[in-house]
Amino acid sequence: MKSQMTKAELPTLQMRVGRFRSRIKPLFRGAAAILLLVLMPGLLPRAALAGNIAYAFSLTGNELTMTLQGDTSAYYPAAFRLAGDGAWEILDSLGPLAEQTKGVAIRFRWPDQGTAPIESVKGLMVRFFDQSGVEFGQVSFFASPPAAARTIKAAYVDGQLRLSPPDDPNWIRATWVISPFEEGIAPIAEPLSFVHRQPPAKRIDWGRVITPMAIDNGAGQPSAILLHETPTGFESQTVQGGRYQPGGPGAEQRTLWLNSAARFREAGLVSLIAGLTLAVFALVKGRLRSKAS
Amino acid sequence: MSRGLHWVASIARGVLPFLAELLIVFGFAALIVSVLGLRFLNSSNWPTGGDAASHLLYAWLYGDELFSGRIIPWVPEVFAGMPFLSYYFPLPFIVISTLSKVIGVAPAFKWGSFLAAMLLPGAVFVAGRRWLALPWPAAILGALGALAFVLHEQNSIWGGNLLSTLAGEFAYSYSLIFAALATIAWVRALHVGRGWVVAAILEAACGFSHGFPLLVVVFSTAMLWLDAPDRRQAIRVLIAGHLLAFCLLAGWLWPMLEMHGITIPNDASFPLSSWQDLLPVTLRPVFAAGLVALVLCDVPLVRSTISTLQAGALRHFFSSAGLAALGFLAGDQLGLADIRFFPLVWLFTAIASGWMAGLALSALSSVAFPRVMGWARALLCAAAALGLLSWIATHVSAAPDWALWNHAGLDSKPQWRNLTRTFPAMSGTLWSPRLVFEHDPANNDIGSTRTLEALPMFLGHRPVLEGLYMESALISPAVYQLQSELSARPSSPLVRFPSGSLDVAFAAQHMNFLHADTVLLRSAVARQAVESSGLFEKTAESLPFAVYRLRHFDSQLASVVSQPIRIRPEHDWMNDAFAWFRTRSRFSAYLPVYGAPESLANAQTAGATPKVTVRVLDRYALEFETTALGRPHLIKMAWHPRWHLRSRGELFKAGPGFMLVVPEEPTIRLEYGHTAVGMLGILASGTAALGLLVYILLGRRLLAPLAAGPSLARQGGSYLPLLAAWLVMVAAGLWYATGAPERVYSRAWESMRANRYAEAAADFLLAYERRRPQAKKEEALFWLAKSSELAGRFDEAAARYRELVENYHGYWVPESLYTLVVLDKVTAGKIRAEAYAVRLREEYPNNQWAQKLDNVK
Repeated sequence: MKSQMTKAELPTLQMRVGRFRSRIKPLFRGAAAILLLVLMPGLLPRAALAGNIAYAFSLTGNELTMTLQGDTSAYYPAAFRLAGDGAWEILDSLGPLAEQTKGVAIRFRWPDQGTAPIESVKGLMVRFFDQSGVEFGQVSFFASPPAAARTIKAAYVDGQLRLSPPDDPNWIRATWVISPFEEGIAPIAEPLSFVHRQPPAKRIDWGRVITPMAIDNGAGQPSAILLHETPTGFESQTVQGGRYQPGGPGAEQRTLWLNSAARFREAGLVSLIAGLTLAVFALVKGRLRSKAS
Repeated sequence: MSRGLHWVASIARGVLPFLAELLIVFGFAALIVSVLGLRFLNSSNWPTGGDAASHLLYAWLYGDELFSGRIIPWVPEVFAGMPFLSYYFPLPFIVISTLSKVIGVAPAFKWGSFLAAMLLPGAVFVAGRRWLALPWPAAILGALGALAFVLHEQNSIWGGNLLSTLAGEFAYSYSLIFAALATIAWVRALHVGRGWVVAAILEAACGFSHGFPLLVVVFSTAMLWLDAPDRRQAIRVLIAGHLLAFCLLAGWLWPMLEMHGITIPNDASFPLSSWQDLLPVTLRPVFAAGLVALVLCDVPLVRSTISTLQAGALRHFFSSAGLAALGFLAGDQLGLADIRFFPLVWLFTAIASGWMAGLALSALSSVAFPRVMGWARALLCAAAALGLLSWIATHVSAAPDWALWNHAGLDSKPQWRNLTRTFPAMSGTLWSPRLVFEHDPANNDIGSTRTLEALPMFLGHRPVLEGLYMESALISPAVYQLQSELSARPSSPLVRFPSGSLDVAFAAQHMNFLHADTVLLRSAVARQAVESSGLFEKTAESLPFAVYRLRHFDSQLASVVSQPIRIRPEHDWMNDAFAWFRTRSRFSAYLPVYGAPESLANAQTAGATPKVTVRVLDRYALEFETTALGRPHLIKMAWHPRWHLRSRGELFKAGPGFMLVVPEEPTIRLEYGHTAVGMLGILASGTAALGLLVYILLGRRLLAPLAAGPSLARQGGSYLPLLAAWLVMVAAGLWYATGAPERVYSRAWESMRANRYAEAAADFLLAYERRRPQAKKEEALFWLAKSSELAGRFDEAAARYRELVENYHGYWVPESLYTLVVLDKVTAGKIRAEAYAVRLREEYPNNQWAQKLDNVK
């Protein structure tokens, strides 16, 4: 049903917006860092997502607060922090929840960080299960590096993230592949234990690797962030998720033939033209023959 | 050598078409399987989604019951006992149970549910080829029409398409495949004179799967008879065939017909939102192709290539579709679910359209150069098939997602895992006190809002009050009334027995009466209401779920009646029982017993109540020991004619539908079995099956005269009778469509919304007069009163409100009582509403309208 707002209702809306702003404001004030993380519905298998899941984070001292703002629940949420060696350290929850409903905040302990260069970006990953049991992860940074001026060729090919060496290895000396591991819908065909599994982030030293690299991020083919080590520091490059990149296979549960409408149409057109040509040929030839006889 | 080659060639001639047909059947099935997802069909996770979540319990139970010889089992796990398959359709459950012995219950349920949908296009193809001798293009395009029907997504509750099947309507899809095949077989039987036995078997299978397609198949044969080449022979064939089908079904169907009066009709109507509801986008190109082909059929070249049999099949499919459309228009007024008819309109029209398009294409090959034209025909057929597949692929969007949700099942849902933490607090046995749960739409996150109905599977068979087949369960009005008293957002699924609202105090009394001591709640509102009542104690919590036990629960499965008994007439007992159950003053004053002699009202109920001892508790037998001979005993198991009192005494139904026994010996023994009609039916089924076997073994010689003769020429050659039948159908359709009470009711609401209250009142009055179910009449009467009130006709409004509160006992009574009190103020005391105010406060103390009374000045 379409919403039809009257003039009388407008102040109510303004009040609501005001209330929303006043709720949001403290998140920006006093926090060491703040970011709003929105999981784009288009990046997730559609059936696995019964709505939007959005998170707001705030980091105050040694405490991380993670508030669910979307319109549906997340289950067994967990937060991970990027360690100096690329491992994802799970953060201790100060109130574990099986279901995190809209508006509910969960707090995590954020221990003091190490001094490894990669830790300066304060990488954070939230992992959770949606209503159907499909696991997702999303990465963000409290100290987000600037977008890379020079990038490398990176895209999903045959289900794997393919990275080509940089044109100038003196500029991009190494690349961190920061991406959640997403197995897609396959695990939900079996009973689930709802335990998160996240392999460490890979660091590719382009001084040693000179051939394209293939990285398996799971059948979900999630979007990835590449952090390039450059002489001026870290720079970031985003790689679109493989399922929804141009020419990507689309949702896992959608079978091949349902995604082949265009091919069917083209083949049908070819058949139609060939069939009509043959029919016209036979008709004309038949008429000629009957005239001759 | 040449003889050998000849033999191989002849074998190949027989085998190759068979292999080709098999390939096509599997090809179509594979298309549907791939939409559903093979990995998930094979998954051993418990399936869920829509009604399937609840069907699962029965499939799980039925495997054991069927193979121990109980085709129609008693299921005490739900509704205080329910005669499973007495009023529902056994064939799909037999298939699932059989499959379950091979691949396990969960995959069997998934495959079994979709088997008919998977096989429908292929079956249409094979039947078209073999029984109607259709050319390949026609058979293929007919099958594609069926595929487009299966995959259309216009709705998910009308039945037949994949979404409806995913919502749990798999029985209907079984019936559809048999309906299509039986219809083809009947055409063949009447036009060729062969195969009436096959038609009868298919008709029986259709009825064994669902009722609505059976109605269309059976009644449409009247039109087939009108169109038959030899009507005298046709009537013999039809009578023999229908009789055979009727006898094959007898063991199940006859007792159902005998006992259908004690079911609860749930004849909700489904108003259309637009004309597009009737024309699914996926099917439009199929219908368009059919229309074009219909025009082409006027071309002599095309017409000449269609055989009499094929033309008869086309006419009959369109006639059957027409009859189904008439059923759709008349369904509501006949007390039938109107939407169950329309899928047959789509399916039959889609198949016939595909056939016609294919026949028109096939005519090409007779123009010139048959070989070249043959290739042209094949290419054009391929073009049509590919075009349609492209169209279908574009318009299938929800089915893969729904299939994933359903078939990934319970075991993958995080909220289900959360719920399972409360299971230890709820587990029990088949004979534990019952469990009641709150209805909450949020329960979709555990697979479906109906998932909780399957809880006995996970709680050691412990019974719950709600189940799926509410129409088959006599006490379901009481069950949903109790559900509404414990739910923040109740479901009120019975059209004729709309239930109430949150009322924890009354719920506690009802739970005790219905032998339920535990409640599972989900919403914060219900949890808060239950906790603040002090009547329950919390026994488990795994938010958002919480389990509570009734504090003063003292119910026994069998006990001597301690409250006064009032004898009530058998006629309309269900309405009386519901009014008793939901009305505080009645519920606390007496126990109604139906159809008993008046002397029972004088039976001793006061004083000490001796304890009744349980001796045998079995699914099919209950035995108790008592010392209170001659005194009424309430057995809190649902009454049903299949229950027989084997000990001396008398058995009646009491309260909302429980058994009441007046024993004449210390032992009370009740056994679940068959009625006399049921026994007769079993005998008829057995005889028919045996006869069929003999008929097959004797090479059909016994009934050969009926099957004599090849293709029969039309005698008389007139289409007038069929045309006349069509005219009658159209006239009847127009009559039903214009006079439908729901249409009038919708029109009244249009006036109401446009503030034309006088016009609205006139239409509400019409709807009130035309509607038949009590609850629907009550609703129309309420809005008649309300529209009169809004039109400023206070006297008329008051008279209508009064009529309502004096004659009805449903949902609209509290608001009507309240409005009478308000109108009393408006009319300066003309109404004398004191008694109404008192009634509202006493009967509905927690109702919002009773609470609003305090604000009336």
